[in-house]
Amino acid sequence: MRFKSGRRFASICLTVCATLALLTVLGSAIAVRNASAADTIKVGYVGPLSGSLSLLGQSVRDGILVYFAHVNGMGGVKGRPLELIAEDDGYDPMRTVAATKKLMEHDKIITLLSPAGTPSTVALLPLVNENKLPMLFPYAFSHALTNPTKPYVFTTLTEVRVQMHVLADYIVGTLKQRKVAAIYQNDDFGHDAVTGLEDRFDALKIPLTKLPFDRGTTNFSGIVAQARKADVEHVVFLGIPRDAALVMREASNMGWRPQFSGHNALGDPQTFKLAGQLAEGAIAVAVMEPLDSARPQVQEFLAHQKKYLPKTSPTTYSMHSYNAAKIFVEALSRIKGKEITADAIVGALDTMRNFDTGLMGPINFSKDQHAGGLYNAIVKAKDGKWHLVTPWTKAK
Amino acid sequence: MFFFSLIIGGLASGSLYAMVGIAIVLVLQASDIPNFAQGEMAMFSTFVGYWILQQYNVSWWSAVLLSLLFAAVLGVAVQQLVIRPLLGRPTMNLVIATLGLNIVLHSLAGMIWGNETHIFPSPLSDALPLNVAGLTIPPMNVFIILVGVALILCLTFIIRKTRAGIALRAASQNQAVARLMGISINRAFAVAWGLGGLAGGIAGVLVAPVLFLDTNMMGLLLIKGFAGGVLGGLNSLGGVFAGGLFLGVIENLMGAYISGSFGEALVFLLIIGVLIVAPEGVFGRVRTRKV
Repeated sequence: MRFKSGRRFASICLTVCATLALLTVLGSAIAVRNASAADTIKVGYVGPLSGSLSLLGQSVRDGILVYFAHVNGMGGVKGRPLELIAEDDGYDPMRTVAATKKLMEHDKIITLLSPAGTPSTVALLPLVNENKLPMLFPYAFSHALTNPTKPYVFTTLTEVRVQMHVLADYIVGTLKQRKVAAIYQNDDFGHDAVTGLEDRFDALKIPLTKLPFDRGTTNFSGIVAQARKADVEHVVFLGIPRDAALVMREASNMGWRPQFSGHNALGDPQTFKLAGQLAEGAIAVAVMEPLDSARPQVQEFLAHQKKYLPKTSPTTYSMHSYNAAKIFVEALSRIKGKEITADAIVGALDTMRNFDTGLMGPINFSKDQHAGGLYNAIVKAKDGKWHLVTPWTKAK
Repeated sequence: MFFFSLIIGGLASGSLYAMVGIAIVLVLQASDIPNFAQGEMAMFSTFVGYWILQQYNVSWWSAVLLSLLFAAVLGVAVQQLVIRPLLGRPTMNLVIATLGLNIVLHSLAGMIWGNETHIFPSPLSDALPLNVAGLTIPPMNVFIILVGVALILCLTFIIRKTRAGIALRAASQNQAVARLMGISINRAFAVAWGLGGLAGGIAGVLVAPVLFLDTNMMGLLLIKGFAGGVLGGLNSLGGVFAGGLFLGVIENLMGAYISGSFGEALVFLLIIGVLIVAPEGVFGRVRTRKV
């Protein structure tokens, strides 16, 4: 090849060299990204980070972040750091599915950890089963999650139906109360809960006054008036602590003080913050230790949240997901070899027996039993704190 | 007894809808624009008041007055920055803009103050429920109704008797002629939105002690405030107020006597029914325009 001038030859050389240099730089950048991407263990989370349940969604996310920060501070798992990618679904199941697809296809998560929301997680069941994506320890109460057992779905939160069995047994057996009303959210969660109560009450031929309300409502006066008219002595409230406080206040305004009870979400310091004195004497089902328990692991959780996310407050939601992350990391560390796959995680969980995180009763999983949290207790509100009034017993 | 306790509870609940309704209708009457951000604007200014109360050692009244000032300024700011540039465009653009602002303010409040629920105090926080003929009446809600009536009287006075109010009415009836008479349309609308913001701010500080303060406080109240307003007649402040109260009562009665599960839906079905029979609402007047 003959060049018309030396200048043209120089410019071609320069172009080729520049292109090669650029490709090398790009190539190594991609290589570096892939290497570090291969190192991080990517975990997904989806929940209502916005909207009326944003406290739930954000708090559950925060619990995972706290535990991951703690573990990463100690060198990660098998030398690899944990990374949480959180998506918002606004408590809309359609968005939950879309967000999870994005996490799977784009972020290549290895597990969906503690997604928050009962209808949202139920909506994910076909997707996670089809794609063999482990969905671990959701903050959700649905019967459908573990009945029948799904190979990739594990829970630690006792489903609300079982919680209500425990509560109904306590109301009838210990408190000896038979005139009961249920004030509940008019959605899957509330209906599931009422089914649980009816399972026990129907068998004992005890009538249950059912008073549903739409989530987001601000007017509880009519419902409370109806409960009072039905002459009930015990009100089971199934909803968020803020609404529980509004119901308690309405009852108090009417000069009426029935016995109040609720599921595990009632047993939260938030109930005291909002209802104050009105919450005294209320009872709740406990799935985990109360936040002010003296157990060292609970204290450690509180200290960790204060250290890693000082602007947030520990709640029963964040304790649940912190516990979830703890079990997840335990499962990862039990995997033999370097490769972490979905099946390896599931395999490690299927053989987990009597694992005590110190935050709840012992966790037991097996191939046919993926509902790990079967121990419950009753807590009672006294002097602004929740105290255990029964021992941890295995739910029937 | 049961029936009367439903009525009392309904009026109490309805008083909250009525307060929000006033704020919406004030702006609607003056500028023909439904402000779907009204609820979140009120929530935001209430949070400002709460923050002042927590951070600085001031009395409740000072904190509330400052939050109301903020609410009025926020109203004017929204009108100048969001509404004014879109004037002359189709109304739907403005509606979408206020809906968008609604979401932005909600998220912004969450980012600044978090998602937890707080107790917002009031001078009546420790007041005992009033006992009238065997019925217990919450004093806070009585106070809310009284404030609502006072607000309507003040606003009516401002609109009917003051220069700014007359300018506002002129601007809302016929912009072209108003301009020819030397009225600044921009200033008139700014006054309207400032007053609307102020009314919303008042609604916020009255609602918060009853429903607790969090970013979701006003969510459903906006719809109910609107619905009550539509029921009562959107072009009458008194009608809006009565409509809100009525809505609260109907909610309770329908829930108790017809169906608990469909209580909310039934209420809206009733509103549709009323509108079919009386499109301008129960107390509304049909607006005639000279052509």
